[in-house]
Amino acid sequence: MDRDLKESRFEVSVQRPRINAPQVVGEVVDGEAVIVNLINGNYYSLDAVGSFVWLCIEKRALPSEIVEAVARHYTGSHSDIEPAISALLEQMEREGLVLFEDAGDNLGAAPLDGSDAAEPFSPPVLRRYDDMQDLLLLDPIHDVDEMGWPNVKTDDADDTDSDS
Amino acid sequence: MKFPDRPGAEPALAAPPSSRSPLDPLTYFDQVLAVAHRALDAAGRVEHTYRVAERDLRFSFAGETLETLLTPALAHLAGPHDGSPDLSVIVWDSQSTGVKMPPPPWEPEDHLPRGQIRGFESTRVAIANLPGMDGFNLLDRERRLALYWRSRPNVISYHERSFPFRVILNWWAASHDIQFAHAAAVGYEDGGVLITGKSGAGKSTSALACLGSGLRYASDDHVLLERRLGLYVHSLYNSGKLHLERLADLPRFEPYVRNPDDLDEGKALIFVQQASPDEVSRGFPVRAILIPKITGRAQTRIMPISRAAALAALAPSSMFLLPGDDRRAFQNFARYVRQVPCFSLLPGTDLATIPEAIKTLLAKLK
Repeated sequence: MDRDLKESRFEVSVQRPRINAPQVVGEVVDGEAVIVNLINGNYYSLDAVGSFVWLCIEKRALPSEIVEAVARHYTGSHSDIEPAISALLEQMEREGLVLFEDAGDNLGAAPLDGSDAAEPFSPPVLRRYDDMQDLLLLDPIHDVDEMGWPNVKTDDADDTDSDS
Repeated sequence: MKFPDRPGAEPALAAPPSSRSPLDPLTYFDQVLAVAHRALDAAGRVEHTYRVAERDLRFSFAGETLETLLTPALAHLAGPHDGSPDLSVIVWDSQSTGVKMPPPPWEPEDHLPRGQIRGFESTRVAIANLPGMDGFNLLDRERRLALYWRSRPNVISYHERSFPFRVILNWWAASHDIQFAHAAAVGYEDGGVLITGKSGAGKSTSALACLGSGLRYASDDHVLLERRLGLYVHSLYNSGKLHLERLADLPRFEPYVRNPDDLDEGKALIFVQQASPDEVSRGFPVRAILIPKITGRAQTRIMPISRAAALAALAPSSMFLLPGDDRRAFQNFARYVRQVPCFSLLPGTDLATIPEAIKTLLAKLK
C-alpha cells in the first residue's frame, strides 16, 4: 500500500473496515483470534494486538479510532502504532477478511475499550493457514455414468476422504 | 448442458426429460421416496434402530447388501428403543435391488463444493452428492426422513464403511444443536479427552493405543459434541482406521481387519465393537481437548496450548468435511474450547505411554 492510499485511510476520505461477512467468521478466545474464510478454506490466527484490532473492527470503528484505541491500550509511540495498524488492515483487506466502505455521515462508532494498560505494543501478526483448501476446492463435476448420474473420473469412488 | 451419451451404455430406466423444469426440492424428494419404497418392496426391508446422542434413529435397508456394509460401525449403539424414531433413514442401492434411479433433474454445473446442488437451498430439504460419491443423501427435515442411495455397493469405500451416513447424521445433529466434529475420543464414563486435528495428525493411533489400558473408546475420527455437563461427547462409530505399520504395534487387531482386499492406501479398517466390545463407550463428559502432533520421540508428552490453537485445529478440519451451516458450527467450536482446558498431545513411539499420559492428565483434572 503506498503512502497516498495510506493517507486516504487516515486523513482524507473516511473509510471504515468491516468484516467480510458472511463468508468470513472470527472468534476471539483468550485474547487470540481465529478467523476462517468459509469460501476458500483459508484460516488465520491473530495475536493479541491483532485480536484487539479485530474486536475494534467488529465494533465498526474507523481506522483512526482503532489507532487511538490501540494507543490507549498498549504502550508505544503513535509513530510505531499507526503504520503497523495500517499494514494489518491492508493485509486483512488483501486476504478478503475485511472490506472498506465509505463511512458516510455515520462516523460514531461503538465505544471502544478505553482501559489504560501497560502492555507494550508489538506489531500485530496475521498468520494464514491454507491446509484445508483441498477439502473445499474439490471439483464435484465429473463424468456421468450409464444412468445419467454424475460420477468421478477416477477409479476411487470414495466419500470425501478423511482419516487420521 | 446435457449429460453426454456414452457409447454402449445401458439405457436408463427413465429417459431424461427433453427439457428440464425448474427444480422443486420437495417434489424431487417425493419422487426419490417412491423409488426407495420400490427398492424396499423388491429386496425386502431390514430394519435397525440405533440410539445416537440419546435419540432413536431407525434405518430401513432394502435387502442385506448395504446393511452388511454399513451397520458394523454403528453396532455399539444398537439397543432397546422407545416410541417413534427421531429420524428415519431409507437405505438402498440400484444394483442389488434392481431398482434404477431416474436421472437427476439438475445439470452438472449445478453441483457446488461439498456436494450441494444449486436450487436446493430449501430450508426443508437438504441434498448432498459428495465428491466421488456415486449416489446422494437427501433429508426432509419436516418429515424427519432421510434417503441414502448409491448406484451399486462397490462405490462404498472402506472409508465410508468407517463413518456411514455421516452427511445425514451431520444434518440431523445440527437440528438438535449437536455438533458433528472431526475428532477421536477416549476416556472413562465420568470423563475423557477429545483428540482433534487434521488427518494424519495421529488421532487414530492415539485413540486405538488406549484400548486395553482401562480407557474406553468412543471414536478415532468422528464424534458428536453437545454442551451438556460442560462439554459432552457422543460416540457415533466404533470403527478404527489404523496405518499398517501401526497394526504391527497393535497385533490384537490383526484378526479383525475388515478390508483385507483394500489395503492399498495403507490403512486397515477394524471395528472395536467386534474386537473388544466391552471397551466401547457411548459417550462421556469431555475434560480436555488434545491436539496431537507426531514428534518421533519415544515418550508421550502433554503440554498446555492456547484455546485459540485448539479452535484452529478443531473447527476448520470439522467444518470443511461436510455440507452444513459453517457459521453456526464455528461458533459452537469456539464455545467448546472455552469449556475445557486444551493441550498439545505429543504421542510417543512407545504407544503404551499414550494412555498413561492421558490417564495422568485426567487424574490431574479431576
